[in-house]
Amino acid sequence: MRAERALEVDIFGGDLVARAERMGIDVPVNLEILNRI
Amino acid sequence: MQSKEIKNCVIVGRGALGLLYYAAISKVEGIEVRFAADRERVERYKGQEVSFCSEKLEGVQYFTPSSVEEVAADLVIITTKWDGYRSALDLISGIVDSHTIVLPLLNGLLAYDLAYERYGSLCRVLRGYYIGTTASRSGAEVYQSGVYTTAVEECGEVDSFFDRCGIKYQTKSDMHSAQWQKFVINIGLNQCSALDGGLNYGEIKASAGYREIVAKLMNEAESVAVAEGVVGAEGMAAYGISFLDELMIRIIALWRRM
Repeated sequence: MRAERALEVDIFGGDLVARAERMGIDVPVNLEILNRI
Repeated sequence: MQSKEIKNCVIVGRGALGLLYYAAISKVEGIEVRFAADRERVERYKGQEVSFCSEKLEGVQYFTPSSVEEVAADLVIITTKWDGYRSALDLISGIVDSHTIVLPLLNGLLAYDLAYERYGSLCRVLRGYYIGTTASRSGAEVYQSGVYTTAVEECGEVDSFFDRCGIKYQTKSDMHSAQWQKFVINIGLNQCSALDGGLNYGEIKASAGYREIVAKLMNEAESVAVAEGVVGAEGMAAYGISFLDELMIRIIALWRRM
C-alpha cells in the first residue's frame, strides 16, 4: 500500500475512533484495522 | 467580518490538485495567484518547469509567507497531502486576516475541524472537498480529464470567483452532512483497502468477505454520525454500499470519456 494511502487510513480511522470514544460508541472493526496497520 | 471580490488567492500544496486550480485561476486577468510553501520547497520549485494538460505554466509565483505579511490573502485554498497539512496551517498564519476565506480541500472531516479550530474565530473557514479522477502527475506534468468538481459550502464570493475562473463546483446546502457521507464511504473503502497488503476496489467488490467488512466499517461510521446528530446520517452506510456497487461501472464509464 502506498504511504499516502496508509497515512489517510491512519488519519481517517483515528478520527473515527476518537469520535466514537467521545460519543460512547463501539467501533470494533475500525479499531481492529487501525491497530493492524 | 468584511466581504469583497476575491482578487488575491494563495494555494498551499503544489501537487496535482494545486496545479489544477492554479492553471484555472492564473488565466484570469486581475487575479493574483501564488503558491505558498516553506523556503526549501520554494527554492526547489523555482527551478522547475510545470505544465497542466501539456500546457506549460509560465511565471508561476512562489513565496514563503512571513509571520506578518503586508497583504493578507482573500482566499487560501489548501490542497496539501495529509502529512503537510498541519504545517500548511502554520504557514498561512501571516496571510490570514478577518476578510480571508480559508478553504481546505482534503478528504475527511478533520481538515475543516483543524482549520476552524485555528482560524475560525478570525475569519471564514469553508467546508469543501474535491470530487473526481485524481489528476495524475509525472514529475511536474499534470493531466486531468476535466471530469471533476469541487464541493463547497455556499459562499457568494467563492461561487463568483470559481465562476470567473471556470472552476467546476457544486454548492451543498448541508456540507457537514455531505462531508460525513463522503467520510462514511472513505472509511469503508480506504480502511478495507489497507487489508492483506493492500487491495484495490475491484478486489474488494469481487469478494463477499471484503464487502462484508466494508459494510461493517460503514455501519460503524454511520452509528457515530447518528450519535453526533448529523443530518441524514441514517442510510449513509446503505448509500455507501450502493456506491461501491456502482463504482466499477462509473470508473469504466469515466475511462471511456477520457
